[in-house]
Amino acid sequence: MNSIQLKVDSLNYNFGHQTVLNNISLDLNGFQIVTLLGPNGAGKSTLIKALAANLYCQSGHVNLNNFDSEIDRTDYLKLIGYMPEIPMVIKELTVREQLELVANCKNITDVNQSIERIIEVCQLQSVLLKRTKNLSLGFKQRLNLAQAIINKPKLLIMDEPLNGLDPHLIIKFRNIIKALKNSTMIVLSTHYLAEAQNVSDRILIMQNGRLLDNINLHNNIQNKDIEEIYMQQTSNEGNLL
Amino acid sequence: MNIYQAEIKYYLRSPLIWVVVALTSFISAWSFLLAIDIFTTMQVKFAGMTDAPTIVQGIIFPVISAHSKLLLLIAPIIAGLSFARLSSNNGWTLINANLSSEFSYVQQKYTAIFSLSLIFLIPSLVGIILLVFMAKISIYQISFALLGLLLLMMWMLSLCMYISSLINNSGFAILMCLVILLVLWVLSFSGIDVTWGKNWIQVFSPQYHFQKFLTPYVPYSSFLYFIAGTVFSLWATKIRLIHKRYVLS
Repeated sequence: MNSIQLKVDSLNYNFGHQTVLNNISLDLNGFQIVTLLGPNGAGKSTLIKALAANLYCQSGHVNLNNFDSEIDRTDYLKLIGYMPEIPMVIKELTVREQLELVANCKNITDVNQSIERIIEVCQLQSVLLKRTKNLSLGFKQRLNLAQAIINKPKLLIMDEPLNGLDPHLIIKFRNIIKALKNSTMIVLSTHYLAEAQNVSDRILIMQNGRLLDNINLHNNIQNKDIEEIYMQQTSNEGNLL
Repeated sequence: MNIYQAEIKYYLRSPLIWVVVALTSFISAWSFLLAIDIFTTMQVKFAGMTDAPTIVQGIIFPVISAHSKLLLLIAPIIAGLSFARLSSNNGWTLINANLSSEFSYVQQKYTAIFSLSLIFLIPSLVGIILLVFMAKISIYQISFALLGLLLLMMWMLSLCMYISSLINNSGFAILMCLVILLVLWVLSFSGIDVTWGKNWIQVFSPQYHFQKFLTPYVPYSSFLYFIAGTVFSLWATKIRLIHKRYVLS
């Protein structure tokens, strides 16, 4: 299947008395890069976890190509890749062993071929036999990405992938993300407005668990406009979508 | 590489496990030699007795009993780490990305920790088997006691694994497992049996059921206790994996 449709329908999540996600609805189609922006505590990571089927919400649904994240969990997981904010590293395994493990968990049949492909994309050749606990943050993030895309997902979900990376790595990551866009819908969260502007096709602004704005960047919006819109929306919360 | 192999590699490459192996090997070897020493010293006094303890009762059963107590240390460390350690390295994302069933995941992890725990028992088991062949004693009763020890280990590991799935900190998980197993062990003490009749609380203790495997009677109820307890704990762990997806962490 070459097309992709992500539908989020009235997603709500409460943590005690606190509303973390408040009636979030979305309808995204086709391969594109969608960036979630918002201040700390806006609900970006929670939404990302819900999209990655790592969190089931109290009400609402997440559908990808008509597969529900909860009801059709296995089919849904086959279509997605999730890169969490904190890299998943099993400290006593080597990079190759960990990739083999992830490939096995994702039921990938041609494990060796997939690993060869992924180490080239993420440039992990030099650390393949190193234990993951000895990796630098940059390599941990590359491993994190490799694990997410090893199953060639149609939807790649990334939670603050640029955190803690130096400018060289940010550029490398940006190029990888742009290359993946040809066959994948990418939903990522970040705090870097300029980066969001640079890579995204669409920007979603969140605050207090609500979706405040949905901006299509193909409508000639300048970097300065994004900053203005973001500051305006997150300071007075704007209108609910 | 599957979950089973990854678990085995994780534990075998972890220095903590080898420290525990060294410690338990020393304790079990020492208890074995001590039992032989005591039995040899007492043998002269046994000469005139009609119901004198046999080698099985005087050496092998005390060693197997000592092992059941060593499990109070081994099970919390091995199984306590199984899920609790995942919080520190974001390992729960792997569980959530796993396409096979949750029970299959739990079962693979459990098989791995069970296989590993056998390492702790091997030195003494070899000693017992050698003694059995060299002293030409019946292996039937000993096999039964060893079966009891294996069942006890299965039961303890599955319970500790479940406790581990509830806790996000490895150290605290090990401590909790240790405390719970010690409480269950204390429950097996039969101090008030004589005065107050049957102490029914004992029935909850795995050590109470294990002791039945050291008697000449086949303890069907204890066998059922261990098997049902193990399956229940594994099932509860599976439920916990699913439940975790409803909780924001």
